[in-house]
Amino acid sequence: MTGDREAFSALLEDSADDLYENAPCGYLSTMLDGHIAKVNGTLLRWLGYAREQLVGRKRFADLLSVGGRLYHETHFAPLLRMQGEVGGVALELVAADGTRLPVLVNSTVKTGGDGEPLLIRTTVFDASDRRAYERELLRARQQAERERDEIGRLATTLQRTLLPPVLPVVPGVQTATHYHHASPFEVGGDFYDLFPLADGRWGLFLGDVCGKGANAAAVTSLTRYTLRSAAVYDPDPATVLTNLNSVLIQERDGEYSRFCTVTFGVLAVHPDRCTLTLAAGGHPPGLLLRADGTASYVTIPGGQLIGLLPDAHVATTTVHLGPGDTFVLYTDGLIEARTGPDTRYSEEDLLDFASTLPPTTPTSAVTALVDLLDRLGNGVEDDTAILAIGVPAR
Amino acid sequence: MTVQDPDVVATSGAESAAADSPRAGQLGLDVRTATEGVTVVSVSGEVDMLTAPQLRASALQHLDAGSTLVLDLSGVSFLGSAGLAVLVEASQQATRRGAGFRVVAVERAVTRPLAATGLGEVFSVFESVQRALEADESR
Repeated sequence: MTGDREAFSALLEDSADDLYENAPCGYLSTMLDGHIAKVNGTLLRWLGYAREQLVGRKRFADLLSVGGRLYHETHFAPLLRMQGEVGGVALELVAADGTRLPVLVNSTVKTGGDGEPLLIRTTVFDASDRRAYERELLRARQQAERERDEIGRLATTLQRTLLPPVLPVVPGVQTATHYHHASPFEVGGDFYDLFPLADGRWGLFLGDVCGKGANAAAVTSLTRYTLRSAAVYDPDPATVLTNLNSVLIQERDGEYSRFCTVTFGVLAVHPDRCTLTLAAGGHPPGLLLRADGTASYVTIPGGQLIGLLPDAHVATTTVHLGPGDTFVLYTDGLIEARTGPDTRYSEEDLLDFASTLPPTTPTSAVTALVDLLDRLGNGVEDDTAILAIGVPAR
Repeated sequence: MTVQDPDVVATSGAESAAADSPRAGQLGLDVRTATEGVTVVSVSGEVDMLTAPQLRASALQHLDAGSTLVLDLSGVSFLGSAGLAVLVEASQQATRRGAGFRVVAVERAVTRPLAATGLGEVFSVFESVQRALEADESR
């Protein structure tokens, strides 16, 4: 209680002069030509000047750094003349010993009764802490950007290890692939591969693991190697996916569901044609582009997500490709792309698009789909993998 | 009783019919207790990578032992792979926790991905909330 009374007494005794002289900020008044007419003790202490060194001798601009002086002449002073006040301007004052003091400056023009300007009043706030804070912020931001770039590099590298570097050449067959990254900072769960089997046939697959990031990458890796090894053991497509299903269920770690959609196929190449025996587990239908320019879906209904149910049903079908025919597998990033606030690119849209393509090859089909992805732009929110296979036209 | 989940667009009660469908990146979640131990979560809007976490939080919150969750997807205009993953997880959690889990799917935007992935056979799918509730009563 006594302390409160003392504080109140001190407040009553606090003279305006003392408040001006020892305020927690710098005060100065200058003539219209900039010469300093009055300056408080706080600013003198900050800058290390005696009053007589400044009053009537120096202009406010003389206290500024070279850059600050330039800014004062070109921006600050003209703005002050026009508006009558300028606030929150960051400048640097140069102290008597040459050291620099970052400050925030507010100035107002005092006018007489007739509205004519008389002098300029300026308050100066020490912004050293703020400057240090800004530097720290900038440092942190640069560090974050470096880390972001590093994450991007790691994600790209990891993604690369989950995809074959190049597809093998299959005699009598053309192939093409593309992987579209929706985000450079996340590892997607899409995967594909094409590899030889012992009996002259070829195994191929394309799929999408649920999720993103490290978990998805681990499942993608497991899925890819399981599919390859299962196919070597028994290349029957339904058996391969059944084996993958068993492995994913066995590897399930409590909360995290390791499941995926996938199409697996065995390719048998004959003179002038080839046969694809396909098995699918919950995957979007393949796109069949015939030599005559027609397009249709190869639906494999009834297949279930792989890695979810112990006795998942796997559906199978066979596709015959003649000269000039192309078969395209893709992941759902393409058919889930946003095209408007309430619209998505659909399977119907994709089929319409495919129907407009002239008779095509795997390479030109993939090129057309890549162009489509580019046109969809940011609407493609998920990674998209594409694998096309075809028989050359005669 | 209608409880509004945080961070989602309110579309509760009578307002929901008149309310505009949620914009991209938003999900309408209307939670009500149908009968003792049965919660109906009505979902509207798009269930994609952006909004799936909201649906997940709401679904898992209402899966208690001995209770039943009816997820009404009648108002869903898009069900992406991220949404399917939520349904799978909710179904698995329901089994683990000893809870019932029902899905109401009417629109092609929902029935099609459920059929394509074979999920229609993984959990019970009904064509109306009423049917889902009746199925629960006859359990």
